[in-house]
Amino acid sequence: MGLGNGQPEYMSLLDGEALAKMQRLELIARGVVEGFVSGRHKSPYKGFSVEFAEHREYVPGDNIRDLDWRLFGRSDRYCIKQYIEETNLRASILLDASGSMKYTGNMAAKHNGQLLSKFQYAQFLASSLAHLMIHQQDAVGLATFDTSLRRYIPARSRASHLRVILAELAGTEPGEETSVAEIFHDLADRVRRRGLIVIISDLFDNVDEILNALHHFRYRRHEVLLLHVMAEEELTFPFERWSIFENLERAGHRIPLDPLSLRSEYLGRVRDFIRRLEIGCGQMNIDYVQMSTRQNFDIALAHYLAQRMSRAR
Amino acid sequence: MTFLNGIMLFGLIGVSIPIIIHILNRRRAKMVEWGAMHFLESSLASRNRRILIEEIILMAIRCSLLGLLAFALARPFLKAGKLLPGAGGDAQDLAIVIDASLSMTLETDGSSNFQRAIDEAHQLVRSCRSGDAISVVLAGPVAQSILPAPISDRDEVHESLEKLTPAGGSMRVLEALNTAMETLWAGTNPAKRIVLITDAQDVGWDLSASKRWEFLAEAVGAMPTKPIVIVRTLETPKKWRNLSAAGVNFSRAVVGADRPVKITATIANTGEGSIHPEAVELTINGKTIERRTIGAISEGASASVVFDHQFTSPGPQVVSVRIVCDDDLPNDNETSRVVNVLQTLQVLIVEGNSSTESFKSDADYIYLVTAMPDENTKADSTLISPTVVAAADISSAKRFLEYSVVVLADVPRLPAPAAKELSDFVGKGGGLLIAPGEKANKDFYNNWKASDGKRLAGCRFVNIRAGSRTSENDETFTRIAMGKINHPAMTLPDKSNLSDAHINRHWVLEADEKEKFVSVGALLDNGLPWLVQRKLARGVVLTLAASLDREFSDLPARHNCFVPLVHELVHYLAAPAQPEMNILPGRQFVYTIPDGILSGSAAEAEVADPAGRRTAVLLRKQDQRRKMNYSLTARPGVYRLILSDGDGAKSIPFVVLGDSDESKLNLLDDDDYKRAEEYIKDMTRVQNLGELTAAIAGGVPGSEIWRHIAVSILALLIAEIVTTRLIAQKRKMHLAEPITFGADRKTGRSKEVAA
Repeated sequence: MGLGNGQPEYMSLLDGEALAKMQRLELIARGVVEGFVSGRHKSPYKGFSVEFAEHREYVPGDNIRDLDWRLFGRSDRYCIKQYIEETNLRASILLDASGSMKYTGNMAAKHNGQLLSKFQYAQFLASSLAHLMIHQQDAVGLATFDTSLRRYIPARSRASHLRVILAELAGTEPGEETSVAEIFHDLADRVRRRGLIVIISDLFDNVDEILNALHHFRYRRHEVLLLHVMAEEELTFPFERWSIFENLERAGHRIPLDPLSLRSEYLGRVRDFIRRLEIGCGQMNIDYVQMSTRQNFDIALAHYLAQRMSRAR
Repeated sequence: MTFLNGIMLFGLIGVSIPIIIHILNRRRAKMVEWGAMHFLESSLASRNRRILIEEIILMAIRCSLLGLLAFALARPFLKAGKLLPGAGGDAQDLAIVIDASLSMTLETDGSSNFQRAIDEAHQLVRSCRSGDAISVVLAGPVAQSILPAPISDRDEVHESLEKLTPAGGSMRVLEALNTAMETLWAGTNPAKRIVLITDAQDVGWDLSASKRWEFLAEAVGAMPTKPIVIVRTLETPKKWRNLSAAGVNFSRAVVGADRPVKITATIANTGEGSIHPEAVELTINGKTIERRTIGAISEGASASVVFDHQFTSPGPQVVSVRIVCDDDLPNDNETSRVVNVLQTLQVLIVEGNSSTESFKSDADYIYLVTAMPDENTKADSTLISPTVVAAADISSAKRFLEYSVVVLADVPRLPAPAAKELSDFVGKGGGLLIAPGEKANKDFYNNWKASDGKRLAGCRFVNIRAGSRTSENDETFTRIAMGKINHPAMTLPDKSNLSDAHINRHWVLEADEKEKFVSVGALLDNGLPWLVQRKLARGVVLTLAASLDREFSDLPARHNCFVPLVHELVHYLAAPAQPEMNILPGRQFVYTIPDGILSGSAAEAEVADPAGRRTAVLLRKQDQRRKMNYSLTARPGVYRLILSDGDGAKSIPFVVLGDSDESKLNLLDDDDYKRAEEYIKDMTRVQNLGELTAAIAGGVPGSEIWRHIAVSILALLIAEIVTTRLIAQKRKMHLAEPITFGADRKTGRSKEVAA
């Protein structure tokens, strides 16, 4: 995954254009709707201000504690001192590194001329989100999993923590079968402090169990952002010729079949799966975002963030 | 069920095409690495059985579609009785066979049966349905297909019927039916019929030739639909008077201008009641030579009239015998033969030793005899022109083929090349007379093999034996057994007294009688062979038990028998090399134009047939001579080969023989029909035109069912399309609304795709 130009490997996960777009988004987030993203998080802890922003005229109803008495002493004017507000959002990114995430297909978006697998796509999403959050002084953690929890990095907000997370992301390769629900239950217990849980996965597991596990997060009062990543082929099943489907999660597991004959059945099941996820997430007030690898991940992310912002407004 | 185009049944292999495509598809399956296996598995679990059923149904429809297509292309044909509704009324191919034999020219009530047959054929054509196709066969001694393939153009059929003329001779029924079937093969209609219009004369039916009828029956069986044979028998007069010139025979096979030949005409009464003809005329080259009155010939009897005639000029000449008589069938009152009168007959005499002393050489007597005119000949020249060569000098006789006959007069042995050449000479039609004497080397003769690997002489030379009888002067001898002669060349005039000849010594010959080409022509009275004949290809070898000089017998001393004996033997041996001028109908006339007849270098000549129609023939060069073949010999009568060069035209006549049995009006009886029906099952006899037209209009023997199959194919095709549609619809039912996922929800999929 390295670009081979002397940069640390994980830097490849933050390509220039993506970062530029991220930063632009950050700018939007900071500049236009100041502190809005964080505000949206409804940080459960009161932040404390360190950075002075500006003065403004006192109007009745303002907290008298905020009056700048020194300025009053110098200019005999009542002014209010304003500070940049910081929140301490604790976000945990849960990245699915199961075998099914290896799937690439022919319709996926390209990065540096290469088709992105679902996993690579998820990696980019995770790194962009981590970067965005760190830059907002939020704490970010990372958990990678397949059959079991592979790695868990607790949330920190230090800028250097970004490197830890990105390094971990770069070092992860998708592996075995998914068992999403079990892991989620486990993590729901582990992540004690309330925060944002960002799940990036194809969620190829029993939908009831997934919803059950998500409910566990909600029970722990976590806010959940579910980024559902799927490849275009998995959504359209465009195969026409006789094919042998080889399981990415289990070596040697093959099914030969005529795709046309199964297409509607398959699509029906996928549709049902997505619909139930949608409904379940809606009921649990979980932010459920669908991401097809066909879309550029940055566009998708921007799309999500824009949506989030607009909703918050 | 039969198939009119059975080869198309190979198309049934096409049934396997959908299966092969299916298997190939499975084989070429590409590998897809897949993540969402869970969905596939669960889909498969619920759909697998249904998919299997759908595929089986579709496969079955496609396979049967292809199978039916091949089946329909093979044009299946259902026999009558298994008719499908709506079938029937199929067009037919009809072969009209018209008996063109001599007996059809017999006139009753002002018109001949042949004319009636033509009239009925016209009527028959008129009564055919519009889709029917008709072919016409003129059945003479050779069946001629006038319309070789059935055609639907009525005008053309009528026109070709109008042009028909009787061929003469007899009708060869088997050949005619075979030809009719050949024409039917060329037709495309399923129903086939052969209508034979005949006077039902039994000549030419050859009902005893069971092998040939079986062969015909086999050919009938091989037809996709068996043709029905309808025999229309025309009336023949109950009472009729007829004399016929049944034959002309010559006393010798080789006729020269040197001596008279006996011409025997046979006159037969084949009608009813005795007839007294006015006269019998002998005509040569159109000139009446002799007119002889004979007595009345009673019913069923025949008379021979013998004419003695000496030809004056050489060359082929037409000899005709005509009965001057007013009878019902005038066409058989004259018959002709062509005689090739020879100028000279070249004979090569090879002698064992030569001597200057008179009558000491082996060949002296025979030379003398051949060169000597017969006593009762008036001509001063002889036909036979002998050449003598010593055995030692045989290589000087360059080409044996220049001679008609070679005589080996007590030749001890011949050099191997000469022996080989001589055997080839016999194979090409030459005659060889072996007269062994004291010097003959039996090992040479016993080991002299012909090209077929068998002894050329046809007998083994054992030893020389003296006669067992003793005469007054203590001479031992034996005689030729007169009662045991069955060779034509040994039948000499009575006055020759061949039986008186003393054979003092003779070779004991052991004939290879197991071989069918060897026969013993005459015996000595001690039971040993005197004359052994051996046929080799076209030629003949005759071996005598004694030499033709005074050494072994006193034959040369007996003029009365020795001269005719040698002459007859030579003539007999010379006959095969003579061109056959009287041929059977259908045979090829092959003629080598003799030297001196054609001065120019013409490469083409013409042949005029008895009706005067001329056909060009090619003259092929062969061995410095020009040769011609002519095979349009369907019509009996006198033909003429017309050679034209600078000096004007010369004509060489030849005769295609008729059939004397044709003059006997023996009709087929019920037994004969039964026998014919044993071979051809579908044979019906009709007695009049009404029955005939009814027979061809009657129920079609079956019908083609490809229309029904075509309908089923169409139905299957629709079923296939519908099923495919249904399945596709079923499988893509939910596809009308694609899964909305991610950004699609807002922007819409179509926009995404366009981007």
